[in-house]
Amino acid sequence: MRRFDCLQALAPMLTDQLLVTNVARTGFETHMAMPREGNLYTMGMGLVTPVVLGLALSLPHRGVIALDGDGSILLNLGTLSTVGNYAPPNLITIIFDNESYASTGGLPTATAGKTNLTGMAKSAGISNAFEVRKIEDFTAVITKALAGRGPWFIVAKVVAEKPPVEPKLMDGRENKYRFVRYIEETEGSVILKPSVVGRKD
Amino acid sequence: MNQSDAETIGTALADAGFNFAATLPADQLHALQAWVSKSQRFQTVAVTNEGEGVAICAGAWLAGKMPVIILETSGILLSTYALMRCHATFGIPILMLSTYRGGLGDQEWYAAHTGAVLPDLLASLRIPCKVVSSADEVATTFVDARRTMNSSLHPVSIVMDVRLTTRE
Repeated sequence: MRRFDCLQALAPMLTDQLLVTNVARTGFETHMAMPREGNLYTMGMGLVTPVVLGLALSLPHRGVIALDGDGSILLNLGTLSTVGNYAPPNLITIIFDNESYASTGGLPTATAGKTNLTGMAKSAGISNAFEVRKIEDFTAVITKALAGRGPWFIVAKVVAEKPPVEPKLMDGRENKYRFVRYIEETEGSVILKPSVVGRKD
Repeated sequence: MNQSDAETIGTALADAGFNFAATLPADQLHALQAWVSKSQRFQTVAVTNEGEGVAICAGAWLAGKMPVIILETSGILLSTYALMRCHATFGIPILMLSTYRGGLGDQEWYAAHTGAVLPDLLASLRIPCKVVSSADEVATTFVDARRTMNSSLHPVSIVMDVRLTTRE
């Protein structure tokens, strides 16, 4: 199974969910498969799922999705416990597990050895934890997750590859502003409060 | 920290607009963390490490919350990567309300070096910082912190010195 095929399968199933991606090709491929204002790309290693957890807890009525990776989640495993304990029903974490640090030379991650992320997530209290290896199984579990009560933790076993990607023509700051403006617009809230001379709030 | 100061500081935080708190147990902050966790004015998350905590706070801010992490001095060291790779990189504010272990008057040997590097660490991260010594100072300081967070879109640090956090 290829990550890009998963992303192309995911794209038409999304509506107004907020989505945060991992670094490197996960971000680029997501932008290629589904450029959306509700996407925040290229969050740092180990930070994707906790950032999405903060979104999920703060906007409990809204679906949020983490597109994380094996190397990234292994950097911050404690967050599985926090997801398990707070159990936001609107949270879907998808781990694209290629069992390697594919973008930085391809050295194996722990999941190439004995580590089983699905088992770790279940032991951390996330009962809806699944591993999928075929695109039809990926589509089926995503369909269930989007319609059901989470949190969900879906490990998609994908091949380690470095396909050519198109550049995203914006940096993280522009992406952040657009993401926040999208949330403001769709939630009817005011988040960005730039300086105004004389304002006293 | 005593119960009275904890209540004063917690109330001032909420009055200043902070409404989302990440916490990790810290000896000198127990009373404040307990007060905030019980308060209806905060949504609180008990985290497993401070790097995770500041990242969760980043998500909360993106969703419209005004986040604070209440943490040990050593937690600032531990959260440095997340503060730079998430908050500084994308322009996401957070208030870090911390102890000053190893600050002037701290008698624990193991805290000395952490306290010694804290001012230079925060300066090198370009994180504005104010040290407060009494609960009476905090109300205006929290308002100033929120204003700076809104204008700079960058982390802000408020450090409570040893006299305040160890007062009986």
